[in-house]
Amino acid sequence: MELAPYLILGSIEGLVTAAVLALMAVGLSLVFGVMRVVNVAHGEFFMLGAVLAWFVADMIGGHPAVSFVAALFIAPVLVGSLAVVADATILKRIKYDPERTIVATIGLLYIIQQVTLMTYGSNARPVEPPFNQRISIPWFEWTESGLSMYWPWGLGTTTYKLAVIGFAVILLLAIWVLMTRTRIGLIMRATQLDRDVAQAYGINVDRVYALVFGLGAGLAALAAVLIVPIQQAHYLMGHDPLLLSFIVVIIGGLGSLAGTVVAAVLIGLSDGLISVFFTPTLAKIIATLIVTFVLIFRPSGLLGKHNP
Amino acid sequence: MLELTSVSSGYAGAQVLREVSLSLNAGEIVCILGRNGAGKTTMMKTIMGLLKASQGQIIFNGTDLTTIAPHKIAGCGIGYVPQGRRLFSELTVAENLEIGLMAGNKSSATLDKVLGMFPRLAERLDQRANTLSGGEQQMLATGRALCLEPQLLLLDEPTEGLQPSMIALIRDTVVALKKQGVGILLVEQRVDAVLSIADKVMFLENGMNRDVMSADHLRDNPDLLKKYIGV
Ligand SMILES: Nc1ncnc2c1ncn2[C@@H]1O[C@H](COP(=O)(O)OP(=O)(O)O)[C@@H](O)[C@H]1O
Ligand SMILES: [Mg+2]
Repeated sequence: MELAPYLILGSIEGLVTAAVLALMAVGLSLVFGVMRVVNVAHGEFFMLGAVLAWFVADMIGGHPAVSFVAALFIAPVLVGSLAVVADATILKRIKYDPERTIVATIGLLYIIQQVTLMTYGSNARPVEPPFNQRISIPWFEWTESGLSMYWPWGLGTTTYKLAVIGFAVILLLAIWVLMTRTRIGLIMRATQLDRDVAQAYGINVDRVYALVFGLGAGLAALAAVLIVPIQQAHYLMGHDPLLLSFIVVIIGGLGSLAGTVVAAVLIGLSDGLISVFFTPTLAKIIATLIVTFVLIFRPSGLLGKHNP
Repeated sequence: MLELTSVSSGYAGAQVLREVSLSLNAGEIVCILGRNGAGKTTMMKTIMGLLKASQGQIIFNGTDLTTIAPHKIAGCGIGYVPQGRRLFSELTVAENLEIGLMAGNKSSATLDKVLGMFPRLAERLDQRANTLSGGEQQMLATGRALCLEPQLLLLDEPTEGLQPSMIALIRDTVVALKKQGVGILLVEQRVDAVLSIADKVMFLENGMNRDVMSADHLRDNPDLLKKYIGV
């Protein structure tokens, strides 16, 4: 077997993972950065996005493109709204105390999971992608008759996977513009840097927190809607992405959005490549090893502040 | 303009301010003196709503600040320069000032005025706040507050750690603001730096209002300084 074609295949699979992971981890990072809340329920917001996408697609029916686009809007908005309610009714009441928010979001994790199990059930259900043409990737080889092109068996991807990568890139750019070029982004960054002074300068911190928590959850849900045509919706699907998001956020540097994206690409690519050549389990083991080494040698992450 | 009536406040489980009363008029400079830990910063934070008053009223131009949401206090026309400056360290000079403009709903005309007062900030608009020198940081902290065109300015130890030329600049700024009718509540350790410009002095001790007097009276009786704050 030739190595290079499989490197390409692994990279594409890895970039799809990276795209979804980056969106989800940026949500987690934003919530931690601005609110100092470690949201253990972030994976459940992801799961809920996928499950709601299935409900929306099932209800609307018709052409998969129509129902998928509807899900792409409706699921993140619903999940974001749920997060805003959770912020007002739970996190605000315990005054965002770091330890108590961890316990509270663990509770939220189980509530969301069990309610989903009771209503949606334990089946994994697919959502049809809006489009899904197969693309075979050609390969070139020197033979006695010169350069020849052929189509290695199994070397291919789909238009949908490429679209996921493209869409995630656009969304991440949009978040970057939102944070660095808009008034609301400035307000969020100021709140992140000094909550009290921000408040003394007229910033409604409660409202910023509600917005950030809703936005973070909405990003997780959006990532899930993108992946559900590839992976199916299941009530336990939030666990692995939550673990990987934490790994990504820690490697990237807590609260650093750029670092989060870099780390997501790193983890996604290594996951894709190792899964193609070895096993997905080894990929997880290696990701965990990377985070261990980062914690030992660069405790504040690749792009985090105050590295020793 | 500002009237505190037996205001008490503190932190979870620890009362710090005990029934403090004070009044301040437009165009007046009131200086709060007191040893470290006397509760001066706590008083500033209570006025800004960052700490909740457990008792008393804080009336500013007819509004009781203890009854409105903390983030609405700046919009009433109060600019706050916290102790240690507390700039938004990773934001640029321009962004820090922008926060001040937003707080007062002011336009770029106000910004031009503030930059006119601190030309060194105008040269460094795109520089991050945490890369400024100490003096420049104090200019930015003051400029940020002035961007909301406050009627009342709270200054918490603005000369802390500054060199003499910078202290003079801050003092000149305060005097100029007073002439424009801005009320100024000033916390200061350097008694010499404030005695010449203050109208009224308040001595705070263990969170209690020990004495209030005119600055003239204190200049005539310097032994009071020794009695109250040991300098
Ligand atoms: N965040 C806080 N939590 C609990 N106690 C505090 C806090 N900040 C200040 N204090 C206490 O309140 C008292 C007054 O502090 P402060 O107002 O900062 O004094 P000053 O500004 O006059 O030096 C001190 O005893 C201090 O220990
Ligand atoms: Mg102080």
